[in-house]
Amino acid sequence: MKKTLSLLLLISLLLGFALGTAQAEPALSEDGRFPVETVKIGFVNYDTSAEQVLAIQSYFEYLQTAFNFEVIWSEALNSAAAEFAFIEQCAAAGCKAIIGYYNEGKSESVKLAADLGMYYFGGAVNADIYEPEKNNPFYVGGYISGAEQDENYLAGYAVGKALVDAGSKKVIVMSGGKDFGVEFFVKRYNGIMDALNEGGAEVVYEVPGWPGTEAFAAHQTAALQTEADGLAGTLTCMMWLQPMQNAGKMGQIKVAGIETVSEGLVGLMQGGIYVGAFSEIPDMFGLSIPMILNAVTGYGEQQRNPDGSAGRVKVLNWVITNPEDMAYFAKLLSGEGDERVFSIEDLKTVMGAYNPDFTLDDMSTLYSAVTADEIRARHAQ
Amino acid sequence: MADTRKAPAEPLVSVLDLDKHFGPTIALDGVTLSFYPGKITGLIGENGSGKSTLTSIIAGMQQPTAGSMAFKGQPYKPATMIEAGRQGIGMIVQEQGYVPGITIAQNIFLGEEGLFRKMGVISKKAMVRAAKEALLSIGIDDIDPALYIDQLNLQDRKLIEIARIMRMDLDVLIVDETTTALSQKGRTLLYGIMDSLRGKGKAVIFISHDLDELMQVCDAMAVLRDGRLIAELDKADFSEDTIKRLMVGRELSGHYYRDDYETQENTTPTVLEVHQATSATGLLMNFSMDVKKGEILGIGGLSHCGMHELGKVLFGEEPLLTGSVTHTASGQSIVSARQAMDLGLGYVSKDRDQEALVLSASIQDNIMSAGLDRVKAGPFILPGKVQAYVNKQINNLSIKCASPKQNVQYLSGGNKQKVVFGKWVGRDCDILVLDCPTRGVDIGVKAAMYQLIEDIKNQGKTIVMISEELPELIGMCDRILILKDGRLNGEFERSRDLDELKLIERMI
Amino acid sequence: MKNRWETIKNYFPLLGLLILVVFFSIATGGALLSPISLQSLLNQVIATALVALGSVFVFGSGNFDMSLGACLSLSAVLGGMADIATGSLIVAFLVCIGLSLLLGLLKGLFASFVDVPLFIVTIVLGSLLSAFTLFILGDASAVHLKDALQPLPSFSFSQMSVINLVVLLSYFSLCLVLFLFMPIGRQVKILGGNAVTARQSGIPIKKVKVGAFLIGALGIGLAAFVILVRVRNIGASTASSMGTDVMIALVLGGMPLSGGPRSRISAGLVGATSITVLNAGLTMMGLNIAVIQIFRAVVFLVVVYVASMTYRTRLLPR
Repeated sequence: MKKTLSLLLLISLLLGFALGTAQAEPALSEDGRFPVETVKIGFVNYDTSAEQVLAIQSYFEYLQTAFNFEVIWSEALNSAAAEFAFIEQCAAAGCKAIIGYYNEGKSESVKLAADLGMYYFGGAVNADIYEPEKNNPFYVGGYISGAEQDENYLAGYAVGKALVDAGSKKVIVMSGGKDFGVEFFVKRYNGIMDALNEGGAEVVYEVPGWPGTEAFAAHQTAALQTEADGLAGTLTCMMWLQPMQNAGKMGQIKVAGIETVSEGLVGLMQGGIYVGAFSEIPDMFGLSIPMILNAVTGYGEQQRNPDGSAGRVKVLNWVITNPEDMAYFAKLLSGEGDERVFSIEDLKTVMGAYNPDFTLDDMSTLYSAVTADEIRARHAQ
Repeated sequence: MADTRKAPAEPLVSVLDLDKHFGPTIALDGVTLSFYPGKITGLIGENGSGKSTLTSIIAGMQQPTAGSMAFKGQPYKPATMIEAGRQGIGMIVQEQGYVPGITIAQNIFLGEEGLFRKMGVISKKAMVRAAKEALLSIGIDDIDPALYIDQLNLQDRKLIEIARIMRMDLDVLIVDETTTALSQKGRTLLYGIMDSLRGKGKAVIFISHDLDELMQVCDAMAVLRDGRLIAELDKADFSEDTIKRLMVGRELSGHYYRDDYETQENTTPTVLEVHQATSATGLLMNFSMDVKKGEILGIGGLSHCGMHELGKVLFGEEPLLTGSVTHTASGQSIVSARQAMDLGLGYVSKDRDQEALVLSASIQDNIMSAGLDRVKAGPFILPGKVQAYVNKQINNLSIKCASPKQNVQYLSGGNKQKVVFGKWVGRDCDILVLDCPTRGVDIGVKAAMYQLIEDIKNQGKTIVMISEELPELIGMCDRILILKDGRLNGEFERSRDLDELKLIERMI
Repeated sequence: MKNRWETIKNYFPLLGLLILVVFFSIATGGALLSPISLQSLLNQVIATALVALGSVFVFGSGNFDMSLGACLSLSAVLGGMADIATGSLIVAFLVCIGLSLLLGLLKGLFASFVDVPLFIVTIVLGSLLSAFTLFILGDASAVHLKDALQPLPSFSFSQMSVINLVVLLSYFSLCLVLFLFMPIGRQVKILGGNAVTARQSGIPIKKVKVGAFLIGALGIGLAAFVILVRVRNIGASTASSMGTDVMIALVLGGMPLSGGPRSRISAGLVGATSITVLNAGLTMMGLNIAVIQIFRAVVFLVVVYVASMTYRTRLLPR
């Protein structure tokens, strides 16, 4: 009798053990989050009221329900010296990592963080930053565009194409900083122009410069007096809505621009005013969290390239041409109903503590599956 | 001056057992004094005797530490000067009481611009017209109120202050050492105002250092010393010696001015030569003179005669349109202060607060400012040498202060002037140009300064003394030059028979 | 009595700094005084401190210089270009200092011979220099030292701190000696207090003004070099806020911007350190951005109020 009982006990213990390890739950902190010790992270910012930053903040709050990290947000920094000062202050405050959302000091910023024993995330798109420091063990890398062409060129091209597909033939082009030689504006502009030329549309007015100046407003007025039926922007076109309304051209001119997803845009697309938006996905900055936590919890090697250089994760952006997608994306970003572009469960699949077999390519796959269908499919599992 | 007096029983304003303490310093000690309508009462006392403190309390500028006041039989405790003014007590202050940078009319109606507001806009023309009337009412008809007050000279600016005060319906007017800032013409004007107030049964409280003036103008006098009321005198009892004795509390032993009457020899060499000098301001015209070694040369005249400009010209502080100032020994023409100093000259400006001192600086900084070349060791300045240099002057001149680091703006007028003297005496200058050296300084300090000037002369140095006080010139100088309208109009040798009348004849 | 209060008021700025240090040490759990933090504070304070030290002479003599930031930027940019062209840090150093001294001389001469208020002259000069800096940068928005002929030696965090400390102490000592133990310090104070009195006291006003600007320029040149070595990417907007930072530092340090006898060498250092401690402490506390800005605003209001108390002098009749 005793022998049978002890055998049963042994078997049940073994079963329980097997079941437990199959889950691979890492050790959690007191309030049930990972990892046990809070990871302080410094976030280098240049505009504390930018919509994108606010979106990132809200996404981080969501992530913090499962992950044990704290963020020290910088004030609006505008120079390399201020950036260095912030990085040093974070080190003194006990931060383990820095998210370089803004980078003025280039590779020096990475070097400084590393000197002070902190991991640095960001700047992988920028050769000035990546190349000098890619072999620095404290540089974890960041995201790069997964598209074949330059992402700014693609952005412009998508904007131009959306207008062409919607039937515009006479287009106003808002060229932003192209005339000042700002590189990414030049690329976006080239993308727009190529798409328009391919689609047989002509440019009836080009509006240069920055919104908010008298000169810009004057250009706007002049542009709205032409026979245009399309507006392509190298930046957001939201500042055209009111003038269009005043000029009575609302609905007559179709709009496409580089935008941030919002509820407002849903309505504008439903109303046929906006026909296309190219948008960065704010949540892609959330890549910083798994990458940093991996580095801190001993899985840093796995997310590096085979040659030991810092990993670069491919990400894609949104090209939105219909209101249903816009609405879905807006809902994902708003956090209603707890569904996100990249949910907590999504992130766990690329974190070594939860999934010891993950690879750098897995990360790229995850962050490149961003169309509405792909997201839905992922979350249906 | 009209001599209207009845001694009425009721004082207009009085103070009872008034105390004022500034920390450990007792400025007023149980002063009980009354001022009667229809009387001009003088207040006299050395610097620090409390007379300005007393009047400033009456005028609402500060509060007493203890004691009480009564005005027209009612308890009187004004919180501010404005409140005192509304009740009928006003004061013409010793320092600058106008606002620079605005017009004369605006100064006269300071704070009352609303009187000229029509439909929200202030009518400048109306203000100017009213200002003209205000000026006429005190006897001024040659000043255009539309001008900026800065365009007037210092004396006339004071007159504008008077015009402003007189607009108020005053029962008591306090005049605080204003006459030193006024020209002869201004003084006459002020006496006229005081007289007319007296005639209307108002009270005037008059503070002045000029004993002669007080004795002439006042009906009664109160003598203060060390914060206490020493004596009250009626006009009948006025006597210069008595008053001086009461002020100082001691017999003025020895002499006040010089008591020697040796005259210079004609063969004494010159140290400075002025040839046909015309100053940039135009107040000095083709002026020539020689300064002889070892003499005290007095320069006198009416206020715009050019004597103050002459002082600046001698020191290289005033550019010349024609002519030159030559330092005989070196043969150099003096064109700058630095050069003058290197040649052994020193200069005490008439404008103590604006030109001779840096008010916001310490006693040490001020005394050192002219003596940096005297304490250098190589390129360095050693704090030890600075302290020794400064302390020597503080001790020699008996400058009353808490420490050399104290700011000069907190010192009394007499002590400030001693600091200025210390600046130049410390340099051991060969030629000292003094412009109104004892202005606004009490009798005790004056005596000390005359002694100092005599000592300097006895060391073989030369002094040029520009002064508006005739007794001072007569008492101290070997030679006196009288200027009129920028030119030399009289020369006098030191003599027992020299009196003010002779000098005035050459001045007017 | 009044005198004792005056001397106590002299120590307010230092006392304020002490309070800030104690408060933030406690609030950050000691992190403020950790070795990393102290070195970081030094790195942050040094540029402002160097310029502020020299500015004591400039503002002290009654000259309001509004071109500090522009002069610094141009010196740093030209120094950077010199380094890129020659690969030599020494050449960069000489260019930074040399150009600064030249600008200082120019300003000194203007202040001495031109009758236009220096305030206006330096505003114009500042704009001209900024424009010139943009012009020589051309299409690039900044000069990057990594483009240099020979790469610059790379300094670690600690090495940088040592360099900064040496530079700061050297310049501080120089300024201290000039201000306290040589005539120019006293001449500056008197000139700033009352120019007429200064002239009548035989102070060589033109020489003093030029001297003051040269001393200030040395500080600017050193600051330009230090920034160059640390940041290694210099654009036209580098140190653009230096002008206001220095003025705030001087005021917080207890010196009036009008200069005169109340000028003191410690002002720049104490003030700059106070601001740096305040900013660093607030960031390290990890507070919400809005809370940080409110906190900072309150501190400044308190400081300005206390500072204004010392400037209220009432001349009472004697």
